[in-house]
Amino acid sequence: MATRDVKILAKKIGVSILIYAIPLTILGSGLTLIKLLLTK
Amino acid sequence: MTLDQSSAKKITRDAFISVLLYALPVIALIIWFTYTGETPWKNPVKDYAHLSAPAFLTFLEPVFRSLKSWGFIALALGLGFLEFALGLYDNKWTPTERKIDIVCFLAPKFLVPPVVAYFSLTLLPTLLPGYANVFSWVPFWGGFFLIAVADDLTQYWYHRLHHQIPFMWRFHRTHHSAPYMGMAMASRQNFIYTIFFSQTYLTATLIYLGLGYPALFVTAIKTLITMTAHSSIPWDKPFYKYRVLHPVAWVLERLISTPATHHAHHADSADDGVGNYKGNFGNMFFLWDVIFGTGLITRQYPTSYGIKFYKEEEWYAQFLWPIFKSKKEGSELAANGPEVGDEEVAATPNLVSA
Repeated sequence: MATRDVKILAKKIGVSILIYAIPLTILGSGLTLIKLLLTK
Repeated sequence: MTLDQSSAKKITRDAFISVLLYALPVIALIIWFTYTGETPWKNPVKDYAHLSAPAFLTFLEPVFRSLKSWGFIALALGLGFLEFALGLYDNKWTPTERKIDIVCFLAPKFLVPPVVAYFSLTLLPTLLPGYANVFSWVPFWGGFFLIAVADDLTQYWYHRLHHQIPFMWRFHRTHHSAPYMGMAMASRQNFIYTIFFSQTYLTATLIYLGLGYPALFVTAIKTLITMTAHSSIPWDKPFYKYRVLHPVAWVLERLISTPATHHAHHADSADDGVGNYKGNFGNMFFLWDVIFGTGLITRQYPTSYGIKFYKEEEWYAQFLWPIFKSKKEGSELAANGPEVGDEEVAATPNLVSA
């Protein structure tokens, strides 16, 4: 694989991680928030 | 080739809308717990999702487990055989296409599970120690709704960006290169596209966090919808044919992917007003396309499939680009090939396509 291909692959993996991390952050913090908000 | 400004604007706008969509199941849970006064996280019950699941689903659990373990492979092979017997591949299933379809069907079955198992059993406990089953207090329907939105909206984005961001297209191209539709299309992917599926790891993480039971049902239903949407057996036709079924069709085609809407995504042209290869990105839910304006519903099927810039590249290049390159001159998968060949075909009308 040429350097150019490695860069494309790295960028592609970066996008995959981003698409994974954004919803996980929203859902993880949302569910944690439920416990904090509704626990009296 | 770079991403044009109007596409970038739409992606940004839709990404912000998606934040709200991802949060919807959480908002629904807040409303539910406020209304009922339940606080299941205070006295966590082991396997609460299982206990709070409706009886009919608990009864059907063995069916869903069988589907997940061997059922879908049997179903894909059975329907694939039926398609072949009915002659739905015509004479388009050339030796090259056959090799690609078979390799893409078999190889991930052996190569993906060990990677996901390593991620779930080794990597997650290392990265998130003490978080296993931390959300096991989420009731069944809450978890079902949450996994359905999280998994499928994530796949919508993964899919859409591979079409709209030029440098990502070649990782997804193999899925569109076949000049026919069929069961094999559901798994016909470049391996790098498959192994870095964001929603696979997102759902694996949510299972680790305690949402495994609802995930079993969601992922099985999703696989069933995705497989049948790719099939060349148009199961949705009766819904368009009989007037009494039209209201059901109206809801169905907006909610989930049907052969008509998904075949349109695999069309090689949009000139007939039926094909919509630059849209109809939804996998389980078509609803995302309706919300983001990327959908086209015509209740018709395209007359031809594939990509205009196809050069019947070697199976190894289609399966493992950029690790292996095509030797076909001018191919998108060749060492010095164009990033998005179809765009060049569109920009240069007299350019001969493959």
